[in-house]
Amino acid sequence: MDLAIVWLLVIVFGIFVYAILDGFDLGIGILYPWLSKQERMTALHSIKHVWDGNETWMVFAGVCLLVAFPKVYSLVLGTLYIPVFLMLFALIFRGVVFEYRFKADRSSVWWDFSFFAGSTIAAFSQGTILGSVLLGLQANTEQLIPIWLHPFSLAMGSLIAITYCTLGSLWLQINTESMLEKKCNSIANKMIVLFSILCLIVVYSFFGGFTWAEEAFVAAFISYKWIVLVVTGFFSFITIRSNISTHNQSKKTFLLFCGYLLILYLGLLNLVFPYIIPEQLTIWEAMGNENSLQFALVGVALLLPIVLVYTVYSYKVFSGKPDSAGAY
Amino acid sequence: MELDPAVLSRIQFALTISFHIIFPTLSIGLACYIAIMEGLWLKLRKPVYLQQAKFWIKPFAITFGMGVVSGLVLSYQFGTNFNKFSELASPVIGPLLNYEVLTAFFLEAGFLGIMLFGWNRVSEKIHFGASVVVAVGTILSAFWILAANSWMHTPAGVIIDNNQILVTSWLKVIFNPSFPYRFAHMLIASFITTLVVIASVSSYYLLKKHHQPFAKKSLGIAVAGLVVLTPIQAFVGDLHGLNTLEHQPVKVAAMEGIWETEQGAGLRLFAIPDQAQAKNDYEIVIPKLASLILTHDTEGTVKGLNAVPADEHPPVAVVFYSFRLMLGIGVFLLTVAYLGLWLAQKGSLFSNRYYLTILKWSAPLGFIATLAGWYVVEVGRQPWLIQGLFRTSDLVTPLPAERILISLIGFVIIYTLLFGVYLYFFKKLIRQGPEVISSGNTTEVATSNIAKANGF
Repeated sequence: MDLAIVWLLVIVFGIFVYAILDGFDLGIGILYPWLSKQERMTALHSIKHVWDGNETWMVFAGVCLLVAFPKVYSLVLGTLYIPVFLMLFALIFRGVVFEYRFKADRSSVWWDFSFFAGSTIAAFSQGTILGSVLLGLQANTEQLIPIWLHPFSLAMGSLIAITYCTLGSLWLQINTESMLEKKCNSIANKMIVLFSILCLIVVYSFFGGFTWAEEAFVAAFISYKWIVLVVTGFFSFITIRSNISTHNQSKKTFLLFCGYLLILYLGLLNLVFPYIIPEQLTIWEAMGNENSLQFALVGVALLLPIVLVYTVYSYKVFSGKPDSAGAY
Repeated sequence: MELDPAVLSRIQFALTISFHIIFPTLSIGLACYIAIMEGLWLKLRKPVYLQQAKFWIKPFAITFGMGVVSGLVLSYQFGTNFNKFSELASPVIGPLLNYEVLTAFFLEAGFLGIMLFGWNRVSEKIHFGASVVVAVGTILSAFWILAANSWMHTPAGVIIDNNQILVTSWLKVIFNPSFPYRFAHMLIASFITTLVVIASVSSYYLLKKHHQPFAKKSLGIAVAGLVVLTPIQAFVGDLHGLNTLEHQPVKVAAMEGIWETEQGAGLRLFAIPDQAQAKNDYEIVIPKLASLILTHDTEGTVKGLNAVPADEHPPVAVVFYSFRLMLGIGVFLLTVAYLGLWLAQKGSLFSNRYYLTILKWSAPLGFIATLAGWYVVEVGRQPWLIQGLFRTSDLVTPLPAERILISLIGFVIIYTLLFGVYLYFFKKLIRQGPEVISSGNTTEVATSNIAKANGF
């Protein structure tokens, strides 16, 4: 099989795992203002042992991009300098919260704010980066504003933030009890609706405006629009139905929502393929040196399955509702 | 004044990597220390070992966390500020970093949670296993990152075809000529740095008459470790220097402050290098000694900086002074270690207040020496980014200077703030001291104490 396609799949997989895993812990940070002091601590305890592993998937995806498509890596990071640094600064601020919040006495307000702001800015920046890449890194109007402040990039920023909120509330629902669980259930339902509406707005108001979508994929795009409507409606329905059912189905809802995201994500990739930066670079044009791709692929093929096994194991060690507040 | 984007990008990279390297230096050493203490506890069942492990896990956790967040920045900075480098060198650097993520980062992250929070979720043996895995992860991470870094100093296993780097042998790339020395030198540096920190904290307790059995144990271990490691480090450092002389003679010339090629070169104890005039002012020289050390012959020839054109000179003063600082601290720590051994034989290691006070204030020395060592190595490679092949100034991202200035100011503010916070919490943990662990029912007592200490 074509090396470029294999590596594209590895990166696609890495980004998806990242979005789900760091998605829920970033989402919890965005939801912070809606949680009480005690609830915030419970929420933080539910992710303190996994956030570091979750963030590693971003480094993995980034490094895979460097190996496989160095042109994309250098073009994207060089062009999107400001949102990339915004994201990194934000991730620093929220990352250190896990280390210091539990040990803080007087400064807890600052750490809470740092966690909320860091998570929100990081999620939003990731969305604007995605949006800018989909725009082909250059808007077709005169460059009055930087590409990452284009309305489409901002819309993607909001969409990603809402996606993470949904994941975060679903995660909390699985990992907490009684009052907080109920509260998260209600937040999750609202977030799923909000997510679906925002998806439709993004697809209908923006995708028509892309020259690359119009010219190269016009047929696919038109049918895709309708697919999005159907898929969005269907998945919103079944996810919410699963979530409001009286049986304890929160894990199932989480998985359903992940499936929902996967379908949208694959649809988007299908639209862009074989470009990696629309209208600029196809995966074959951006591909790195073959020998290096092969060498690194051996590592991925041998080690990634092992990584997945112990990642699942470490999640299992801490799974289940917390038995008591000081349960570690 | 016109700001040079290339210079700004280099300052930013130097700042971020200097800040970052402080934390892995300590976390590599602490991870190994904790794993060893846990192993000793499983074997000997003496509570003091469990106490060591449980106490040092807390400073380890905040140190590791700082390493993660500051390291994240670095993995993207190749692309943001040196995007021509990331594109050009990706055939070599990319796979090495990829292996680092797969063999080290995931491993550390996967087992760190169990190590920090898994005390009563998994069995003692699995917990010990998790601590060992985390320690191995930190060392593997150093392995890959130093392989990549060494390759930039002594590139091997590649051919340059049409300005593209193509790998011909991965073994030669990874085990490039300077890698074994650099890897050993850095690992020992991090062990020494950690032992000095442990000795410093132990001395602080002994001076304050707090937690005495605990502090005596760790001070004993730290001094014993330093007695073994400091001479080994001097030896490895010497080998590393000889390797550098073979592959990067200009760097050695800068370290020694030798401008004109000399036969029977003297060792400059002090000098003020003058880059513009290509000479030193106010030299104090010990005749023939540099030749003796570098070539093991008093009449050996040492190549001077002027053997290459002036535009291939690194910033000599930085290299020259950093080298002396590193060496000076090395000699000081070696002396301190053997002074400790002598006091231990006299039976006054734990009671000599002068010695304990020296140790107490020595905590930052290992870090300063490590940083100085890195400046020797990295500044000494300039103007090359990949030695002899590509210049730094040709591989930076063509960015507007203001944009880099903004991110640079951001880093200065954030890192200053973070470092203050880190030190504050580090001190707080030290002041709290180790948990009391009774010999019976050890695990339960310890865990409930940890839960209390964490505010629940």
